[in-house]
Amino acid sequence: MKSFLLCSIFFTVTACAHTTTFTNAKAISHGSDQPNSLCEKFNLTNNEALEFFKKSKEVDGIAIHNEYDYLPCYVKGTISLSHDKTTKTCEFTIRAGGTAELTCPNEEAKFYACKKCDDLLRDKP
Amino acid sequence: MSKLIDGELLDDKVTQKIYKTLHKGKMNKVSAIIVHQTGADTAEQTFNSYANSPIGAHFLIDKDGTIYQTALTTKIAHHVGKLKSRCLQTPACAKEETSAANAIYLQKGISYSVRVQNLHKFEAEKNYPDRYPTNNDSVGIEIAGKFIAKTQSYETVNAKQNASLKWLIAELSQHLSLQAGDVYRHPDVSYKQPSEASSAAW
Repeated sequence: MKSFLLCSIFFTVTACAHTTTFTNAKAISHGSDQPNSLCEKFNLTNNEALEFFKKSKEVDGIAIHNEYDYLPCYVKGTISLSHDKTTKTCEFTIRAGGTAELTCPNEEAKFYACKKCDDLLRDKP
Repeated sequence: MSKLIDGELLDDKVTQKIYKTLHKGKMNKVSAIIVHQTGADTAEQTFNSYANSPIGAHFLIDKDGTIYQTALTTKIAHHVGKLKSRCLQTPACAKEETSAANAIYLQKGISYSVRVQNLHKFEAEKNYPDRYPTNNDSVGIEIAGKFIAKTQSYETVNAKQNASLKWLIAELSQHLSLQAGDVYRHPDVSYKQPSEASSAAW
């Protein structure tokens, strides 16, 4: 009842959309698509990978193509995604230009992008 | 032979569908053509994007080969993105120039996005062809085609699309006095997925 009331109050803003929650990110590997020194020190911790997804938004293929830089440096790993009372483990690739791809079981890959992740996407000492 | 009048390419093969939202000022000289793929399955999805976004190219080739003109060639359109350094891609530059670009690209302690932005500014100061073409001196041609995550590549440009592309590039090159070396694939000049337009042929 309480949630119904809250839902009603905020209906015009959120349409009671079921939010997606990211947890338990594991950064497993890092590297580069091209042989160069640009990516040598690009890496993310588990917490940084999680923060990336929390700060990013889902975008479509046109927006990824038009608005973001595709860089060869990547970190790959897994992350738990909870949505509509179900949790699944998905595979991610985060790139140094602020883009990411998320592949969940039996679903088409989704694209994410972050314009406020400069603090995360820099080389590590 | 088509006609190019006030930025409009006039021919039975070209359907005019100009989006004034894409026009970003006068383009004084066209130095090059850049070939893109849209990242979307249908032309309609890209048209919807053009209606709501300031980013787009001058032409769009649909899956059936139909050529749409979406911006005038006399107007700047935002279709390129941040410039790569020509000196870092080809060995033609002086050693000092390559070193200067490398110093920006590999600068420690700042984000990759800022490095790419700084290198873009550095490159944009140069004249074409010392740098790659920018929004300010190039015409963009989009080809409808999505990115397929499973194969990590853009879908193959089909024969009808390539036939239209070949015709369009020949006509524009003639009207704008461009050479074969003035036509680029988008990932050659900017930071884009390497397979974009890789199967485009002209």
